[in-house]
Amino acid sequence: MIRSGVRDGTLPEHFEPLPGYRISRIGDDWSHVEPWLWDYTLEPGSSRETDAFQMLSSEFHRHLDSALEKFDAHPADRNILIFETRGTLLDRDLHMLGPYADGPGLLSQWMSEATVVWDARDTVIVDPHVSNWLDGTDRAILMGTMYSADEPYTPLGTIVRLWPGGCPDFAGLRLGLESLMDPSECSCRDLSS
Amino acid sequence: MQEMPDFKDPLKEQEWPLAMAACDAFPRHTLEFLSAPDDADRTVVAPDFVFIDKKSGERWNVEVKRLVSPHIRRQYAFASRLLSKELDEVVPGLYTCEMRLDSLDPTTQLSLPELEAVIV
Repeated sequence: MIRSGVRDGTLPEHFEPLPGYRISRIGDDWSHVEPWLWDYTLEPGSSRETDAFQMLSSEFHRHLDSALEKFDAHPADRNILIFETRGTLLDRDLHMLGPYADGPGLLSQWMSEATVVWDARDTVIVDPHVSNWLDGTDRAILMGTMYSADEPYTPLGTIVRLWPGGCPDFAGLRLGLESLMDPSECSCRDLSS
Repeated sequence: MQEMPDFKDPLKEQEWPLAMAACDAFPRHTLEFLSAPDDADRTVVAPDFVFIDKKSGERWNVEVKRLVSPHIRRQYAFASRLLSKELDEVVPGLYTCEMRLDSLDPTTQLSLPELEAVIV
């Protein structure tokens, strides 16, 4: 239907060629298509959305454990763990957009449930990789969910700190958490004095 | 910006810019790439990257995790490859193609016939 629409000059701005597939034109400058996958049955606030968040939470904690295992196997002076959220519910709608979005808060809540093994050497951060396109309606379309085709990958959002260890001069959003490391304890201060 | 080392593992190429972004979040430290396990099988239990602080000589582990269900990632890669191949330089303008998947069902799959029907 896309090819025939292009051939006939009848490709509409928005159309749904088959149930479950919706195609929208959102720009005129490029000739490019990016698939955008999502589960539209997961209405915000629904029980299914809660179930999906529970699944993501399990994945989050599994990744935390995996990272700790690696850090313990290879001790270093600092440990940085960064989560990327592309293609998840956390990037949907406003979950990860801006400092007042609820995605970082949700991740921070999950993080607080697993704080016992993290210390002042560790920094856990999240990269909310989304960019916002408007499709002519009130609906926002989130782009930036490419993986293998996304070269070079460029982080678009502001990095958010979930666990406040490491250098206190972290440049991203901090979610109001106090730094665990005093400025005088960080090597950057020791060397500058 | 440091130049990305040559990695055998293609996932490392995706993780490298994220690691760079993490390093940039600490502007008072100058971090330089030191090492990374680079086996395609990912059997080595080690952080994705190790950097060294040029001033202090401290070692920094950097680990990158993608918080997305593997079945969603697989289906996304499938659709991306197919659409990119079929529609390259065909469609005027920038379009999004939205396809519904059950994020709770690991067996959910996109339909190849349906995708081809959408394209043709």
